[in-house]
Amino acid sequence: MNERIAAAIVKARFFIIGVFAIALGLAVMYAPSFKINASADTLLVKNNELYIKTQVANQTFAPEEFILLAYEPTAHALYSQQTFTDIQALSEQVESLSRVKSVTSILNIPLVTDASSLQGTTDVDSLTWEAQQYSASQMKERIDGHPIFTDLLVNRESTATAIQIVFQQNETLSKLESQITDLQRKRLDGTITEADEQTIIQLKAQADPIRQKLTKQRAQEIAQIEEIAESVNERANTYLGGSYVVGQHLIDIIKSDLTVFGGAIAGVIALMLAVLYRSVKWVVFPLIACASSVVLTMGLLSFLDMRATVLSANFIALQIILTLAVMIHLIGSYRSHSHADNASGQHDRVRATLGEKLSPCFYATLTTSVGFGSLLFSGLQPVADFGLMMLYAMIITMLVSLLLFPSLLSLLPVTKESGESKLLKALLGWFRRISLRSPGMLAAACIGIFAVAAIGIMRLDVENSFINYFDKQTQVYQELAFIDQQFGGSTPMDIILDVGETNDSGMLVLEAESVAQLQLVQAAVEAFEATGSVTSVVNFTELAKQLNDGKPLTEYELTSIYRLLDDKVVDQLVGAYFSPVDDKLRIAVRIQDTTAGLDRETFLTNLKSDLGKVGINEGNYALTSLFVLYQDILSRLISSQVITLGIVYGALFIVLLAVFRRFGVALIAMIPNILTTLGILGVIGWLGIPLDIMTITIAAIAMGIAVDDTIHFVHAYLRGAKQGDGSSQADTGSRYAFGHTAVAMSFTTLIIVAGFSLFGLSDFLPSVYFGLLTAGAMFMAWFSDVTLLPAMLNMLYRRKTA
Amino acid sequence: MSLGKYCGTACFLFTLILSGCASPPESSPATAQQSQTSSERPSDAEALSQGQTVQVETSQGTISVEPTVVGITDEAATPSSTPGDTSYYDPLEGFNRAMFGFNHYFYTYFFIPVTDGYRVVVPDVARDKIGNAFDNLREPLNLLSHTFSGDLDKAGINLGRFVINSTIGLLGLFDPATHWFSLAQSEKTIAQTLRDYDVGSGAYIVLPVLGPSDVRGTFSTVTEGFLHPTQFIMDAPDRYYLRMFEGVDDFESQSQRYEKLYEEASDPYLYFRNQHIQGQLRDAMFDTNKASGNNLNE
Repeated sequence: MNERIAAAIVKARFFIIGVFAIALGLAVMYAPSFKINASADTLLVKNNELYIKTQVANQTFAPEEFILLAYEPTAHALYSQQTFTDIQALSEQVESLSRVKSVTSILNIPLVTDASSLQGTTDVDSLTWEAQQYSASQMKERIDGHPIFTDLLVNRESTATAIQIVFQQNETLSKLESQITDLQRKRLDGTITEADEQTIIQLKAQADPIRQKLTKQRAQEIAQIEEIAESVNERANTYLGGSYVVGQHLIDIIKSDLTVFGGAIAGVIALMLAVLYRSVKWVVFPLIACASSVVLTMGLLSFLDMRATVLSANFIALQIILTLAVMIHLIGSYRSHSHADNASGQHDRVRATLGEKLSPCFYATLTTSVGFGSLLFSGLQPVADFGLMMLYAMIITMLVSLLLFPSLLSLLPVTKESGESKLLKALLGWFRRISLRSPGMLAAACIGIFAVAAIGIMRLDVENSFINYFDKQTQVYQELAFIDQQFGGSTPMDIILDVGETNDSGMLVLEAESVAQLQLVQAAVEAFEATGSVTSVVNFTELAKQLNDGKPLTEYELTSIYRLLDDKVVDQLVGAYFSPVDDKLRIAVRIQDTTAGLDRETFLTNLKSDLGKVGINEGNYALTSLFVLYQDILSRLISSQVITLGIVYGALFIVLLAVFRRFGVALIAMIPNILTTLGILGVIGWLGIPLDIMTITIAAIAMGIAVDDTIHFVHAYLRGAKQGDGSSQADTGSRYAFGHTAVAMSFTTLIIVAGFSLFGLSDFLPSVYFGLLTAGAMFMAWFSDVTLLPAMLNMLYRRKTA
Repeated sequence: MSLGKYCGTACFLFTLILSGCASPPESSPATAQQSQTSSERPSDAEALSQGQTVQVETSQGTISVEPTVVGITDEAATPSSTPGDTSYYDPLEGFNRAMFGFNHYFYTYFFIPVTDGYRVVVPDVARDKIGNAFDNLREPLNLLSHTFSGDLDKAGINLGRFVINSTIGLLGLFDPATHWFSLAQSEKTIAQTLRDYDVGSGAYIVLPVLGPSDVRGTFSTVTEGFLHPTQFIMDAPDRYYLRMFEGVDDFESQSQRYEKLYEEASDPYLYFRNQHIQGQLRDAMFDTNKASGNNLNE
């Protein structure tokens, strides 16, 4: 069967090459439009209740898009003429950017000092530095400890001030978004119809190009603001922060990782191929195959409009490595056939290679696909998307390495092949002898080692924070951390309180009891170390109380102020926190992601119980926004991990059973792989690396790749065993398996480990973890495949014959 | 608040009639400890909105919250009151509504046009100075009230301010006491002094022209009318003109506020009444020795 397919491939070589050439041509057309979408959104599970609630809350309170530019004087006092001059200059320059709607700084905020200003008789707008030119000491007096602006425009220690740059909403986009949200809302009560779903898809298609343009514009704006900030760098440190800045840094880092590491890995691979095979042919051909796979995949993905996200940013490197792994087995087999029969022609060699390796290579890529495919069942949209992307990539890799590569190879003239590395052969020979002599001991030792590693699983913890994705040494981290620590945190979390109808026959805008309830909630939230800036209507009532000589307002006075103040001022002060139409109050919280020892899950549990303690019923509030959405994903990670691993184990067992058609052998083939996945999870636990949406994919991927080696090894062992009989089966089988198959396995492992290790140099910690842990997993897989696997196979064959 | 003496006489009668009426006892600031579940206990939010400082045990330790907005009503102050709308003690509602209606008519067709004209004719800066002068004329009354409250420090400040501003401050047009001597304004009415002696506010009364008040406030206003320095330094018609002028000057800053709030309230009578009563109860509960110059409700 295999031989016939092999012959057919060799025969149809020109046709195959032609088809691939056309496909490549098409792919080259599409590949340049391949898109990266690294917005925080891509890491979220959409269409679930929490996400829709967040969208609805955003619609109600319309929080504005802003970034913070912090200014920390190095030699002069914060409240000084120099600062004011700089802030004014910076504000003016920033304001000239086209999309900037307004710039808020300590210079243009109204600094109200007595209660009468709140009663509509004074023009509040005139109480600013810009209008009054307050002195440095007056500014200090008015701003220090201000209930509204502390943590937002000035830090608690009064060493730095921030400019809040507010951007204009794109009218069309927000209209589209609110239409989408209105339809999505129906999902919450289950009244959504098929037509609605269609409309949503249409609306999303309309919104997409606008969003793309916006992303580009944001990147430019950030660069421009950074440039503007440089003008004061002689006197002050400047820091840029805010959720869009984080997003932009992520895009930058992913783009550079894609190209830098894609390129670096290709380079390292070329070098290693050259060293291992000492032949130009075995450098050029695999690289051509790898490049074809990547280009075809990129073309296909951009045709399907699938975008790389933070999660799938490494797919190029991943695919190069996976394509190569298949080809090294083919090359190993080809070389072995060339060594065995020097006189054979090129077509015979290719046919023999394919005859031997077609089925293990096919099954190996199939199992890798199964590993990625299992991610589709993770229940986490971003992870599932990544799984689907890699599934396509694997299918292309399979086609390229099993069709294109041999077709190209058969065009080559016959040459003499160089010999294999002696050192490697000696090492493998040693493993072979031990596994034959004392298989039980070896197996026990192996399982012992993995068991110790696997204990680390108990220590697995889930945690997630964007800031911690960046290396602490990088400027990006330092800027984000400064904003995080000094200006009220990074990841937003909203608490939406339902205050219900006011019962005083509509007399009041807001009742005292509602404010009291809000205050209690706010105090409970502020009590947490990890909460940075916490803002709501309470900050305003606190200010009013301060201005009222420390006496609380009455609810009627509050209503009067609300009605007397200019609508614009009201909107500025409380618009984002109070929706009189829906009777909803919003507390905007930012979580300080750099808080030492922050356990987000415990934080949320405590927060929920504290909300109960201050008298809020569970039905009367909703927690929304990014922080909660991430946490929701994290809370599902462990179960998701269990499900994906379960599916991987199950599916692989079926594949192994199909390949080897013997229950015992399939079971033995499973064991090293199960140990590898548990072992790598254990290592993650031991190292204290938090399980997050990035690291969760490692175990399934590792399993998918590692099982390739197992299949090749067992396949070769069984082939060898057939040649012996009785008690010699174990010996011939293991001799055959430890021949070129084990060498090829070692090569692929070496190349994969070297390639993935390169990610250790990234500034992006998820890439670092991903690279090093996958490398670790590959090493473990190789180790168990050349020790435990032969030991168990030997035991099986000895028992059978005994 | 200033006084028109004509109405003062009428109000004085009310005072005599009503001062005997029981007025709800007033509560004082207290700390509500988180006591274990008694079903009668008001929720923390209720306690807080009634002006109490609330402490709650949370996972992060004890948090203590002080009220920033309160809604203290007569009902809350007298828990034993009979059912019905007892939130606001307003036995004279019929009379009050009539008077409120008259006032509104008076404001709309006379007082507001007059103050609008005044605002146009007299520039900002001048109005400011005139306001200072009237404030200065009140100082002896403040001194008196502070003295009777036993707050001699404040009384001293009132004396100092009166002397300084009447002389260096050119009859009170300027306020060098605040700006050069750091003697901040410290107003005190007889009503506030009475409150210090635990005299309740009594029933709500809408005074002609002057608007929302109560028995205690009316008594205070009338008495202050008799004791006002103008009584002693000016003759009959002139001092009335001056007090009327003060009324116009006073109302000038409030006319727009009044119109806006009147327009937006579903029942303006109730809105102004409740605002007044809640303000009084709040003032009774929270430190009354402080200057009430920035009091928002009048």
